Amino acid sequence: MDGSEEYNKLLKAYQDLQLRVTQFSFIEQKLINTQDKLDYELLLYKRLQNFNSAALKDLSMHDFVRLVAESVIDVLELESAVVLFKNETDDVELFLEGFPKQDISTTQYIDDTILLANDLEEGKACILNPNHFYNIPSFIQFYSGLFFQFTEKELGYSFVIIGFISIKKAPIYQLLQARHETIFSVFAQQAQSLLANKIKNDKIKNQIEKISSSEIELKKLSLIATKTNNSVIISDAEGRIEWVNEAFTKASGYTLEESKGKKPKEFLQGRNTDKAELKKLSEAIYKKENIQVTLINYTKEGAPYYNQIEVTPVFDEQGNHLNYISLQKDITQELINQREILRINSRFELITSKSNIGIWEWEASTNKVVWNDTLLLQYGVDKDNYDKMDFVNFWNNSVHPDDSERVEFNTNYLMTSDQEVLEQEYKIIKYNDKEVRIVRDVTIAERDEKGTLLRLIGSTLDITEERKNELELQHNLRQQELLSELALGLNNVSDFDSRINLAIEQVGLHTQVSRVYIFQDAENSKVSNNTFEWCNKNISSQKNELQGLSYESIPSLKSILLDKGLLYAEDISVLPNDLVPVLQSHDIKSIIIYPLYVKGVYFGFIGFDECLIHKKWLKSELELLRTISGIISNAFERDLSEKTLLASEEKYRSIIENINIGLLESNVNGEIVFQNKKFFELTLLDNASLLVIRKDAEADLKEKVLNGNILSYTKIDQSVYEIEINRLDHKLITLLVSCAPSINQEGEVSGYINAYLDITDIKQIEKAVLKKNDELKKINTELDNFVYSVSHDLRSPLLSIRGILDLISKTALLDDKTLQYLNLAETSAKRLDGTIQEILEYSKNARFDIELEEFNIVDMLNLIFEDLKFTSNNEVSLLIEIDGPPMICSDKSRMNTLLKNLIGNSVKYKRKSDTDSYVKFKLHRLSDHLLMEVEDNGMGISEKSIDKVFDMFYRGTKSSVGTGLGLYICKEIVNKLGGSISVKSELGIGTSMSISIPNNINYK
Amino acid sequence: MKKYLLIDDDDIFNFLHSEVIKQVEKSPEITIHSSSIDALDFIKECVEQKINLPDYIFVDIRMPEMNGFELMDELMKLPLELFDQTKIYFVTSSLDQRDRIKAKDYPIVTGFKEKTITSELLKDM
Repeated sequence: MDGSEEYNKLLKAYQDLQLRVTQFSFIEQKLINTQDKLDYELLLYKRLQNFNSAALKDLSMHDFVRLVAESVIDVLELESAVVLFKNETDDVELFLEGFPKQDISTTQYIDDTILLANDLEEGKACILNPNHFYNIPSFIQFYSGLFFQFTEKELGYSFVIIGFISIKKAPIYQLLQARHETIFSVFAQQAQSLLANKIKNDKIKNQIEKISSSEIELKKLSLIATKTNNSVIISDAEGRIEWVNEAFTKASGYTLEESKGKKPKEFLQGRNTDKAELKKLSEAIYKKENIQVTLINYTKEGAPYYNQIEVTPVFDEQGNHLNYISLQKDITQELINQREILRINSRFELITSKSNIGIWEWEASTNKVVWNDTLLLQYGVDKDNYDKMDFVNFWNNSVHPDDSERVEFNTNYLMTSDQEVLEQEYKIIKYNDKEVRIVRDVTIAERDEKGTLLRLIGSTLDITEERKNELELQHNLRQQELLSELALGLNNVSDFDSRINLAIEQVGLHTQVSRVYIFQDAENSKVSNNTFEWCNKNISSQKNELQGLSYESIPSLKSILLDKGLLYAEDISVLPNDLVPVLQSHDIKSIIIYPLYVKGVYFGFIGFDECLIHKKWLKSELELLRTISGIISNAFERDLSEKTLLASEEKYRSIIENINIGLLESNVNGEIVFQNKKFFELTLLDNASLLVIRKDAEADLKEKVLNGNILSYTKIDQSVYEIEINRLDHKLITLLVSCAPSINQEGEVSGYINAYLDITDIKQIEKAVLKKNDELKKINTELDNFVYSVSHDLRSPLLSIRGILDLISKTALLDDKTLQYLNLAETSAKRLDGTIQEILEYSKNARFDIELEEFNIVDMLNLIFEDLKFTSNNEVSLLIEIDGPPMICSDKSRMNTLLKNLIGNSVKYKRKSDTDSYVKFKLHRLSDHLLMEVEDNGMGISEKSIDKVFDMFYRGTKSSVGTGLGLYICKEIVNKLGGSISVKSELGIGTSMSISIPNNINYK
Repeated sequence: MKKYLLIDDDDIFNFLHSEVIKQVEKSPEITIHSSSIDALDFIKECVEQKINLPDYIFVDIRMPEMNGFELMDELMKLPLELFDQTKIYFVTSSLDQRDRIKAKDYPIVTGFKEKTITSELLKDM
């Protein structure tokens, strides 16, 4: 295997991981950003709340306007603010906050503010852009802003709030967005509501002041009081109601008639009315003092409403107490406003709960802590227990002991120094399941202007998963590093043992197991030996005891490894019974074993023991170990390959030295690179270069013939030549030489390899054989000619005898006896001729090769039959049954002889008396054979003869006219054709000869 | 009246065949040569004298000095149209298939007959 490829793979995996780390930190940053944003909003809402409570105090209009302007800057974090108040008498109150010193008069500012406001909508917050400012000198330097204005027609005033960000400082402020618009809108509406109340209160106060100065004015005032939206009660010195206005009736449901003569406390107060406030009120009335209280009053229908009650005793000029005027302000609306803030808070809670941010607040004055649901969840606290919890104490106990000291120190420092924000991470132990989680906590300390700590506001994010991911990531990285180290270390197998030892040490140190070891099977595969071992600190070695470990003693080990690919037990007692005692005896508690394979064949295993604990392995760790076992397997495989290679190199070296072939290797210039011993033994040449043959072998050989280095050469085949040399010892030898180019790793021809084989002896034998063969051929031809000559010379006189006999028989003057003698002589002569012909046929069959050709067997049969009829003039009919066409492929001449003999026999040995004699020829084609049958209803063959009919010179009956060669020749022919012949016969019934010969269907 | 030329080193066959011819033909003109060299001379003589060549020539194959094939080789050297009216038969007792095959090489040879030619056979010819 290519190590660099392995390394590149690992490198790529490592880079992927780095990329993932980057991505994770990006996500983390985004999380932090979100959290920051939320923290920021929280801060804004808190400030909004502060503004709210400050504005509820009894302030002058100047102070109120200033508070609003300051709040615009504080709450919304804007650079500058303008607040303008203008009442019905065109009294203007203007406040500029955060404005640079400009040469602009207050009047100009007022005019410009009104100018800007004229173009913009009422009662709706909007974002301003440079287009709004370009022609307004006071605001020309601003880049962006928030605007809100409203006009209270009934009370006759208008109010403008503007917040600004300048061009110069725009970059350090957040760009104004819809979010700002929303907060600004809430803020402005609060301001509007607070201002409205304030105006009303101020008016009533003014009126009361005036009432106290004159009775007439009082009457006038009562007129006003009637018109005002606030309830007015006028009572006598004893507190009995003398008069109420319409607003009172409207608020309480009681008419003047129903109220007159009653004391307010007799019918207005109810269950939830604050007793302490009531007492304060009673005391003040008794002492005839001014008093302001907030009470819950009840309407006639019993509905509670919040009332801010101011009671003023009225005296005449002489100081006599006349009556009380009670001004009752329904502050339910204010409380609704407050509820709106609460609503915003709860919305905020919702946002925070969705973003999994826990929020808490600690009030310095009360030491009270408020937690949101998310935080409760983070700490594993049941919501139902919420009220009973002492959170300060609980929190102190929840922080993990590892971190408690640090957290306590940091928090104390935040509380006691002027630090505003504390950001810290720590572990906590959850209340319910005691799970350890990691949280990131951002705590903001809120202080008043004197620097006294008011409260701590915290937001907590559970970052356990994030940390876990990071840890896992780090873990993965370490694994990858380990793998790459292992792969690099095992890339090279030189000094193999120490490399493996190093590898298992690396694995051991990484996994922190007790022991890592490798077992290698002995050659018989029945026992395995512990060949490598690494032990952790304080763990004893077992290597020496575990030599020759027999698989038979622990049969389940190998079967589990082969079946499952690993053996894994967190607790070894769950393993099969044969394994447990062995493992226990080595104090092993947990174990993992992976099989090792070389070239796909099991050859041992790598194991990891844990002797101290019951170790539960993570899936990723198991994956790692599997990969490691693969790497180790590979290393063993490579080592084995290298060793095999060395061994085979050794083997080949020895073969080359001892081979019976002379080897000569030369470079492209014909200089000798290598020659083996045999080459010298063959050629006895001191200068081997004389026999170097290169690419253009023929040219080289020609030159060598000219130089006398070799006697002759003959080309045998491509790059193979036979050469003859006259050796130093004057022995003439013949060598077979082949010339092959040797190719280097770049695929170029780097030289030539000549292999020389001594074929002198073979050559001599070959020559002898050739000579013999020639002789045999000659003899064969002579024999052939001899057979023909003999048959010719024998036949010639015989035929002339037969001719003369024929002549004589045709002479008319012959008596019967002479004719009979002539016939006998003719029969004998014919038989002799038959014998000569058969001998010749036998000789021909034995010595001539088979010649296949296609021919018409029906034609052949008819021809044979005609000849027979002609010679024997017997009444026999020929029947032919052939499946398919009449063309067959075989040796025509032999088939002719064969069929001539068989049909001839049938004709010859027909039953003399029969008139319906027949000979039937059947041909049946099989895919590879032709089945033929020659069947007759002739004399048949007796049982004792039937086994001998194919014997040479066997004649069945004395009466037979044959030579005893016919069927013998038939058998010889069928044998020669590669077929078989058999006979079935019954005496007096008939004979059937069956022949099977190859179907030469693929002939042509 | 048909003319016959019989060439065979075995005089018995020459006799036999002339007898058979006589049985078939009324008064045939039969010329007999027991040597093919003599026979060749005779044919050349005929050609020189512008005498018609025989209608039938029966030639044995296996003969001493000049066998049947050698004789045919010589005849082939003559203008072939001379043999247009002549039927030449190899008449032999040889069973050598090669002889039959070789006989086909000579366009002037009409057929290949096995000894002995009988009167029946001759009628077919």
